[in-house]
Amino acid sequence: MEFLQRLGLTHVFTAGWFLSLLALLAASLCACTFRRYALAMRLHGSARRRALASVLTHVSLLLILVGGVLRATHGQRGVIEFREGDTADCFLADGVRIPLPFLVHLAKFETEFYETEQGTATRPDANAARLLLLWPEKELSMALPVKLSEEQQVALPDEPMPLRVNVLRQVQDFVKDRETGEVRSRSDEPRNPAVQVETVFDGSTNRTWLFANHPDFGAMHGVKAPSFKLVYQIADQAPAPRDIKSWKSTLQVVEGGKVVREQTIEVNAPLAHRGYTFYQSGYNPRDPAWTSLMVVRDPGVLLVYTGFLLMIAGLVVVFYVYPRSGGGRQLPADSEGGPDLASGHGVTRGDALHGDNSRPGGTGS
Amino acid sequence: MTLAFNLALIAFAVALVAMVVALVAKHRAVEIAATALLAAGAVALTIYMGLRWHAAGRAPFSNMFESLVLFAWTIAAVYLAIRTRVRVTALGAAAALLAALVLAYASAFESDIRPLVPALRSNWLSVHVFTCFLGYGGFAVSALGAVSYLIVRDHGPREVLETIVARTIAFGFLFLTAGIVTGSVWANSAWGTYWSWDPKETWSLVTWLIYAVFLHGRFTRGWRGRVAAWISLVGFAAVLFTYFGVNYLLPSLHSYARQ
Repeated sequence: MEFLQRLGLTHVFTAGWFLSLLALLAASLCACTFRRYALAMRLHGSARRRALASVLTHVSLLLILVGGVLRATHGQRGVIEFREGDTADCFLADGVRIPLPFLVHLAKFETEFYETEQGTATRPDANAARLLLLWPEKELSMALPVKLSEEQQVALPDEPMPLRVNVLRQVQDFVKDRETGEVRSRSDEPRNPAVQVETVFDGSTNRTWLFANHPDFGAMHGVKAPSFKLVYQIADQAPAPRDIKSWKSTLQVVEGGKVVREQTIEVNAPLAHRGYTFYQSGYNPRDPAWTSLMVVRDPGVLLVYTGFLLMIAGLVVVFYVYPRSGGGRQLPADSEGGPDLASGHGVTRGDALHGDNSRPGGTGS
Repeated sequence: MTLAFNLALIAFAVALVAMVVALVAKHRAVEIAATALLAAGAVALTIYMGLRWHAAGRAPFSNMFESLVLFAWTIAAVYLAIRTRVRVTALGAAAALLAALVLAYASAFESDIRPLVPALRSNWLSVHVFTCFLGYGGFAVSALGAVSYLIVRDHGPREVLETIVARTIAFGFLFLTAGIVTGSVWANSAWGTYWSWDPKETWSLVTWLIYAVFLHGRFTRGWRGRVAAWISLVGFAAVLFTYFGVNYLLPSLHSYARQ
């Protein structure tokens, strides 16, 4: 592991050799760009414009690299962790407190959920209950519906006779009278759901109560061992998990004791103020008033964005505004739908992208 | 909505059969009918995506199923755009085959409309994914052209296929660049960093560099023929790894794309 670390293979993108390669790329780009520019100035008309656009795409890469270097050398990145009502005057970057030139107050933090259908999974119902039939030796695991007074027959592998299952009673809140032994439901709430099940298998009839909250208590086992086991299961009574739509932090920027700015930020909508940008970052499901913000100061981002724009513009010009004519050869225009080139008929040689080193001032690097 | 999806799949499959018939019989009318079927499939997919967009209230580009549908659409669209200029039946058959396969593969994934996680709730979603997949569509057709080039023996069609390979790569390169750029801008607005060497980012850069090598070789060294065809195929292998491999093999910020 130490060997890998020394080679920088555990942190490739920040390793010295990788950054050296990037520096080499930048040097190579510089050389190519100067050469391309010199060659372009010897051309005329659309060839020059195309060549200059090509220079532009290479300059754009340099801008992006310079922007990246600025971010690495002069940028700051850290977090603020606070709760509703708190005010921060600094942020933490790798454990170091970095002061902010203003205060940030978290006026409000909320988690927004998508609307869900009410009641679908918040309470167990008869349809959500099931009997789980397990037979490890036969690698059998299957769910049976809970059907009152309706016998179900289950065919078992390597057994001539089916297993017959009959649900005799179902109660939501099982209680047994100590004196009379009578079973009844104490309430309509599913506090102790249970079913009385009768099974017939291998000439033996068995009758018992199964409890959803206590799957091993009174679990029904077949007489023949090793044999099957029945478990009563109902849907989870906990509320169905809801999908998070958004986290929203209402931030106030305080300068000189006054609130100079207020904005509610979300994941894709940060707050930018005096070179610092605050991003919605973290939350704690157990502490709904707590949140964390990412704080970024990136003096190179404008260069990078300029590079992005120039690159797209340069490529559009090179490929589509002033495409290479390649000696005037084009894909065959065909008013009737085109000649069938797969069968070799009607071929017109055409290539707007043919390399053409023979021409003076080609934009070769 | 499902009807439009199924119609598109059927149209692509029948278009494939018709293209093969046209190729073997050298029958122009059959090729035109096959092209019309391919176009009909693309229209059906457009309707499907439109209906899904309307139902979901956002662009249908958020998971593997939706991206595969878009991928099939871009393959058909790029081929049809080429077909307005030139007729290469073998390429049409290959495009119909790939579009049908991609759509069939999509049907293996969960097609339920799911709510978006907070990070995906942005207008950049549609721009970023659409530009990336237009690029992928261009590269896919380029790879199909490269395979056809390596198979076809006649000199004439090979030259035109060579041109198609180069032009579709130029098209794909422009849109992959736009996809990376829009993804970077989006990442910066969501996470405060435009580049974090996430596996998807890194592999899209690898793909971009391979095609950049192709374009430089083509422009400045006149790389043609089998070399160009093989670079195109290597580039498309990188596209496939960026699209599928990263989703399944590497932990990524784009992990929602595997679902």
